[in-house]
Amino acid sequence: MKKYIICSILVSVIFSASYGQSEKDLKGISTEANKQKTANSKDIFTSLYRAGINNLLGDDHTFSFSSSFFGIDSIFRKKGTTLEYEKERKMRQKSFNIGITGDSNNSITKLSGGFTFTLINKKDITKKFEDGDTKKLQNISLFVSEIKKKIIDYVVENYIEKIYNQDEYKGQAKRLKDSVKTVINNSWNNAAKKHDFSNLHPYIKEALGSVDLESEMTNSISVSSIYSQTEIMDITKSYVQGKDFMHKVYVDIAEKYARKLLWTFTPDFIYDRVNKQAGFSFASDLTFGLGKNYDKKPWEFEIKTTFKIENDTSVNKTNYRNNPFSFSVGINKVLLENEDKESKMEFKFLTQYDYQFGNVPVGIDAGIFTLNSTLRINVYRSLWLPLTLKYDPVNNNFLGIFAVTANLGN
Amino acid sequence: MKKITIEGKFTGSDNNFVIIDVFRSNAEPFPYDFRKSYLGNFKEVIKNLQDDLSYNIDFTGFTTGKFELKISGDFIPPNPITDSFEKDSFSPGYLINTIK
Repeated sequence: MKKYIICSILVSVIFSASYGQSEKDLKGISTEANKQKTANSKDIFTSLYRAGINNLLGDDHTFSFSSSFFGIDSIFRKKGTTLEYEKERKMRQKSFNIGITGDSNNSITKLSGGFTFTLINKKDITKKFEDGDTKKLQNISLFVSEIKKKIIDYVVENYIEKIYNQDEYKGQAKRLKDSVKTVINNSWNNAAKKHDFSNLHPYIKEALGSVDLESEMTNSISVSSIYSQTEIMDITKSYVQGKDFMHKVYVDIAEKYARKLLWTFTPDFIYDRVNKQAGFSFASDLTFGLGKNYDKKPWEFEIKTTFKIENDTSVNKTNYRNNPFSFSVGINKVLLENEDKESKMEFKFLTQYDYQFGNVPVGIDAGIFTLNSTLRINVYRSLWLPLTLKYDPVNNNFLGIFAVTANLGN
Repeated sequence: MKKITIEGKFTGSDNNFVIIDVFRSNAEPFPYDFRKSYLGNFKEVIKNLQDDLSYNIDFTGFTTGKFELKISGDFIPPNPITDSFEKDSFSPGYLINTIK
């Protein structure tokens, strides 16, 4: 058993790591897609790939793999070709799922396959933003565009033209002037790429802190028609302090959409190899974020329902009398996240009610109410270890479920 | 007069915006100022640049998909200049020097 668990985890880690190494080569696949989403919502719907092994410590283990149609298309698409946006978006909204269940003897007992359709997906940041959000981003773009010009003007006027027009630089003045401009450009470009402006070239820092630049920004018709004097000063000050204000606006808007509604429907076909009988499963998952303070780690509300039509194995012939229904309501909380607001650890608490609509053995209740919690820890790249604890308050029973999942490339 | 072509291509998203600035400071001889914004793919040809002068070309904007830029024309290497940005805000600047 231990060997099986260790092998399963290792395979998943290697799979995750090798994907990480090759992901840059997968043209057209956005590795940063939806990075503000929680692992909980990625478990509900993957926009690329998701692999998982459930119930590692139990007798039955299920390996599952999901891929959006976009993910599969990306593998087979000819190098250099790009999809039309609408086609790409539609392919991201549907995924297919396969599952293999094995018993303690490692024999395959069940095979499953199906699809997940997004009924509502307001988390998709590639869809057109609300006008106010687009305007916010356009405004800050204009501000940055303007301040960059003012910085270059400041450096040219106060340093480049003053220093290199002296006689001692005659003959080399143009080359030297251009090299300073290049240094200034590179300093800004590097800072913008890292979203960290704390190590800007001293000339840029001086320009940003100067009264001249502040008054020029305040007097700029294009900027002052959007921002108040106080806002202009605050935004400029944030760059002086090393912060990337434009990126903050972008991340906050992405976070706003990451907290919106996602509702999926998953019909699955199951084949029981032991009893040689088919079964069906229907699941609905709904989740959305709570709170509008995007600086705080998000809370997520979720409702899940599942209904299965399977065989009752206590009856020795083909039947469909095993009909479990499950309904759960829960709250998921991001406990840890990195600077880009990518989730690294999450805790979920949910109440679950299971009811057997089919045959119920004598002496067993048809309905069971449980309190569940899941701790998800991001251990490496896209690899997550979710540990679920179920508590049955009526019978005072605890049940632990240990799993491993990898949401690849999203 | 020298000519440059600036091209921008957005893919994978409805949320795209870029402002391009081609400029030379007012404190220098032959100051120049060109600004235009785009919500999607564009190709801008600028034909009135002076010979053997440096110009700053800045791109400021955002995309929730991918943005690829290309600057080509009558300027000394590296030519063309290409760069790309994915699911982010961006504000790179490049210095070009037109040929004599």
